[in-house]
Amino acid sequence: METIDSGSIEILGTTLESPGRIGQKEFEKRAQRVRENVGMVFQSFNLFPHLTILQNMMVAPRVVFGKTDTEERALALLQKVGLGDKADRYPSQLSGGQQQRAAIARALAMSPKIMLYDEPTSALDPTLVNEVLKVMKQLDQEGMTQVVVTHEMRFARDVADRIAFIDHGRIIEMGPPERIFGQPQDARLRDFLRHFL
Amino acid sequence: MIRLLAAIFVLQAFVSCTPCYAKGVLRWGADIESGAPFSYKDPEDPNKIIGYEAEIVAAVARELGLEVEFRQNNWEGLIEGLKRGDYDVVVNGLEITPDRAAVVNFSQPYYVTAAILAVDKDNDDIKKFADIEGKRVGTLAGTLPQRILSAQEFPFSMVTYSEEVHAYNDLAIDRLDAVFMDEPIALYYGKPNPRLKIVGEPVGRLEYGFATRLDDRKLTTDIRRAIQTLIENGELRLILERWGLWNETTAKQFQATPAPAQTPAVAYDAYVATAFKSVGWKERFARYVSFLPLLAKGALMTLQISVIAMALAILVGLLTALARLYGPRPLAWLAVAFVEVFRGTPLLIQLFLIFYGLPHIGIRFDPFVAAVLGLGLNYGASEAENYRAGILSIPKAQMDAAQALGLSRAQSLRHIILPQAVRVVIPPVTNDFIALLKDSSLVSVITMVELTATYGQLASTYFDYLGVGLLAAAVYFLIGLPFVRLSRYFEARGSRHHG
Repeated sequence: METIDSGSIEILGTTLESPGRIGQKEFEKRAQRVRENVGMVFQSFNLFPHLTILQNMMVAPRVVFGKTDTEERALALLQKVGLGDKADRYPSQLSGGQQQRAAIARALAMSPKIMLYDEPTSALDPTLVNEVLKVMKQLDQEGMTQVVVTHEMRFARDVADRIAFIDHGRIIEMGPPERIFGQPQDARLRDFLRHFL
Repeated sequence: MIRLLAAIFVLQAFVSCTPCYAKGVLRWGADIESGAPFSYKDPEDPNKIIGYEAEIVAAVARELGLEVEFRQNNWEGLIEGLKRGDYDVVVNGLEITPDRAAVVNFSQPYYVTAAILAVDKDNDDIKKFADIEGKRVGTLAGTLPQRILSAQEFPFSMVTYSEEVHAYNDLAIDRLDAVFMDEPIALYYGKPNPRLKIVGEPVGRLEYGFATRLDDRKLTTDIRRAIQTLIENGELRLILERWGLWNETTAKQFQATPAPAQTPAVAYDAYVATAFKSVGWKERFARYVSFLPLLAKGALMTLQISVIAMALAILVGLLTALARLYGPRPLAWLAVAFVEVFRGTPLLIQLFLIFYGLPHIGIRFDPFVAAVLGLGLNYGASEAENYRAGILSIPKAQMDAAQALGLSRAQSLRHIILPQAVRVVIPPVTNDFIALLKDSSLVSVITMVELTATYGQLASTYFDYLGVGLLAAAVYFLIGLPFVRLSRYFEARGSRHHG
């Protein structure tokens, strides 16, 4: 979604560099390879409003991989995120928490190796946050690699293997939750934790 | 869609043939809306074309062993249509003038007449041609009488018409002080009208001839010979006498003796009897019912043109919108230029350019294709803006989400963005279709006989602009109605899940 200005990043064996260095075409090709293996969950869900939940989940496997027999798997994923009975609903008929769970299921339908979350619960009513976190916790237990940008400190502490504290686009401190929460080194991190815990 | 258009192009290519008379057909171009006595729809049977010229053309074709095939065109466009090859001969009160003779071949005159004044029955101011000084005078656009008027030194105001009926109507309701036109027209529209009278001496000399293309020398010679035969065996004179048109100038031209007419003007009498007869309600209703098949035929043509033009407009609009939004820069600029040019110029001018202008650089479309192209491109430009707005109304986050799922940009557009945009644009597109349906009336100027052309022909045949006009308007309304309903249905269906 964003291009790279400088530097490089390696994801699942694919090295992404700025289009200026490797050419726009090559960049697109590599980015596409990354996208197919990385699932993404947005702050504002971004479900497709003209499709039912089931169709939302089946459109990408069908278009990208030409798979048409994904219905059973999609239904199983919906069951897993607790939306087994909502397959034929449209996004506007679901609550925020249900929509976000559907969005997670939609990303999982592409069988990604990594899941990215961009503040997945910050647009949700506080009472609905837990149902989404529960799904993410369950995925964690199944061994899914998940990268989460979040302000849910308690959740981060309980579930994360590693935590990076980022301020203005820079990693200030990175480490296991015990160290980040137990012995924060940086003043900004200490200040932040005082406010959020 | 593209295949359908291609099929139509191929079909049209088969329909046209130049020259057709090689295959035993004489394609005759005229404007039957200009009416009696030249050629017009038979009031007794609107499917038949009658008139003294219809009879002369039939006689000439018979001499040449050809079948007559009639082609409708607006009078002002007759010579252009001939040059385009839409028909092989023009016979429609076309005066032989030096500037016309430079672009077409003319036969010898088949009729010689003059221009004459008609005024209100109670008008005592205008008794001769010179009396029109300071008055409002109506005439026909592009005719010799108009040029005679333009050449006058004294001040007066000239109003030009494209249909004689309207000029005489305006004279009868005092919008004009006088009408100055070809004598045959005055004879048929001025003289029988109880509220009008003919005054003064005939002015000028108008010679009507058959016009053919400059390179059709054989056809020109054949027609000249055929007309000469008809002059010598008296058949041409008989036709002119039956239509009450025989006059001294023509007698002199044909070297005919004796000069006065020998046969009663039966065709003229029949015309006056029907045209100026007042009709009861019952008879009028029966007449309207008899119009229905013709109006239905016109409506079908209107609908055909509109539907295919709209399909083209949607295709062109979609491609243009996509090029403008996502295309590489030169393509995007091209799309902007296309939209601006086609939206910023009148449809009528575009139709004329496509139909009459392009043949000058070797691109010749049949009327149907030209009509579809003109309407399709013009509406394609406004469709492009509709779709662009529709696509832009879909939040960028939808594109992000689709791409994050692994869809390419094109796939995201096709499967995620466009289906949502379609719902947004259905109401404006339906509105555009209904506007196109009405604008398709403009293609009557490029020889298409659709609903509006049918209206013009029927109205001028029966002098009934009110009744036939209401009838035609009702037909437009009725064929537009289902599409309004359809759009409401789509709108309701689309919005169900978007509340």
